[in-house]
Amino acid sequence: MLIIFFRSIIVFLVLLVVMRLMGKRQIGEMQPFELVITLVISELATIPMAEVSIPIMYGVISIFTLLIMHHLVAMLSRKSIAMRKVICGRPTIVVTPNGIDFKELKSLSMSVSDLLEAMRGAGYFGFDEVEYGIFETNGKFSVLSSGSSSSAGGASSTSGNSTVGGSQSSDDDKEQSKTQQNAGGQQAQQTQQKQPQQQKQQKNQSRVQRERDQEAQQEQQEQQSQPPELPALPLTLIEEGKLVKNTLKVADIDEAWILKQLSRIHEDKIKNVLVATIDNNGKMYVQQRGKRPLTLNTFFRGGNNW
Amino acid sequence: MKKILIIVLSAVFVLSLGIAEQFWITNDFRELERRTERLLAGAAAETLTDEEVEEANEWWTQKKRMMHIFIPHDEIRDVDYWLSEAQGYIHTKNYDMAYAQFTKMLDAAKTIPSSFRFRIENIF
Repeated sequence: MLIIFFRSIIVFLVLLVVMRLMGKRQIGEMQPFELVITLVISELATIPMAEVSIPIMYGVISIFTLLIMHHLVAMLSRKSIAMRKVICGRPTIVVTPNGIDFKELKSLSMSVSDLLEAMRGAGYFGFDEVEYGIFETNGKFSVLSSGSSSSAGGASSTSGNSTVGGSQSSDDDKEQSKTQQNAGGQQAQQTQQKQPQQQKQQKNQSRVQRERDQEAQQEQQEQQSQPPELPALPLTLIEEGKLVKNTLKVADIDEAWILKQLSRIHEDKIKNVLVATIDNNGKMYVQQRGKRPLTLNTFFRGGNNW
Repeated sequence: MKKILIIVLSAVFVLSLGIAEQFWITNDFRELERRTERLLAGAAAETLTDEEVEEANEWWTQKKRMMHIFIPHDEIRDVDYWLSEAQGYIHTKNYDMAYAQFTKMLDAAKTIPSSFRFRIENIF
C-alpha cells in the first residue's frame, strides 16, 4: 500500500509536469492537474474492478492518493501566486494590437492554423476582428474584440491596425464640398436679386451642381451593381514566411498575385511576411516581421470558391 | 478547513493501511517461512505425516484471507497449489516430489514479502 501510495504521487507529479510542458493545446477547459486526475482516475477505477486477481485496495489507495494530491495542489495554487504559475501556468497573450505574437504561439506549440481554429471556436473568423487573443491556463481562448466593423471596397482599418489607402477620407471630402456648394448656391440666389450680372455665374454653378448630382447617382448605381458582401471566412495564404499552397489552390490565386498585393505595402518578399490571410470579400490581413498588421482591400472575389 | 480534514483523514487512512500491510505481510510470511522449513526438513527425513501437512494447510487457509487484501491473488493461489500438491505427495509417500513443492513454497515465502516491503527499489 505504501508503495502504491508513493508510486501514485510520482506518476501524478510526472503527468502534471508533462502536461505543463505539452502546452495548452492538450488541455480542454481544465487546469493541468485536473486533467491529470481525469486521465488517471478512470483507469485506476476500472482495472481493479474488472481484474479479479488484483486486490481492490490497489485502486482504492491510488484514488485516495489522487484525492489528497488534488486538494493539496488546489490549496497550493490558491494560496501562492508563484505556485499557481508553476502548477497551472499563466495566460498567454497571442494576439495583440501589434499582431500575432509568434514567440508566444511557438511556446504553446501552435501554428497560425491552430490559432485561427481557436478563434473560430470563440466566434471570431478574422485577425482584424481581434484586439487581444488570450489562451487561458485551462486552454480556453478568450478574445477582446476590436469592436470595429469591416468595410468592403477601398481600404479599411481596424482599431490597432494600420490603414492602407484612403478612399473613405476622400468620400468625406466630397460630401463636405457638396455641402459647401449648396451653401454657395443659396448665397448666389440672394445676390441675383441684388446684382443681375451674377445670373451667368449662378447658371454655371447650377450646371456644376447638376453634373455632380449625376456623378453621385452613377456612383450609387455602381455600388448597387456590386455583388453583395459575403460572410467573411479568411484563408491563410502565408504562414511564417511560407506560402500555404493548398489555400492558394482553394482561393484560385497565385504567388504573383500575392506579391502584387504586397507591393502595395512596399513588401517584395514573402519570407518577410509572418502571416497573410484573405477572406471571401477580398479583405487581406498582412503582418510583416517587426511591423504592425495591415488590412488591405483587394479586388479579389473568390468567395464562391470556398 | 473541510478540505484539510479530508486530506488529513485520507492520509491517515492510506498510511495506516500501508503500515498494517507491512506488519501483516512481514509477520505472516515469516511464519510461513518457518513452517515451510519445518515441512521441508520432515520431507527430507521422510518422517512427515499427513496431519502435519494438514495443520500447515489450515493455518495457511486462515491467514490468506487477510493477505488477499494486500497481495495479488495469483501469488496466493500459487502457494495454495504447491501446498495441496505436497499434501498429495505426502499421502502417497512420495517425499521427493513433496520436497520439490516445499522448496517452491519456501522461495515464495521469502520473495513475496520482499517485493511488497517499503523500499526505494520497490517504489521504482
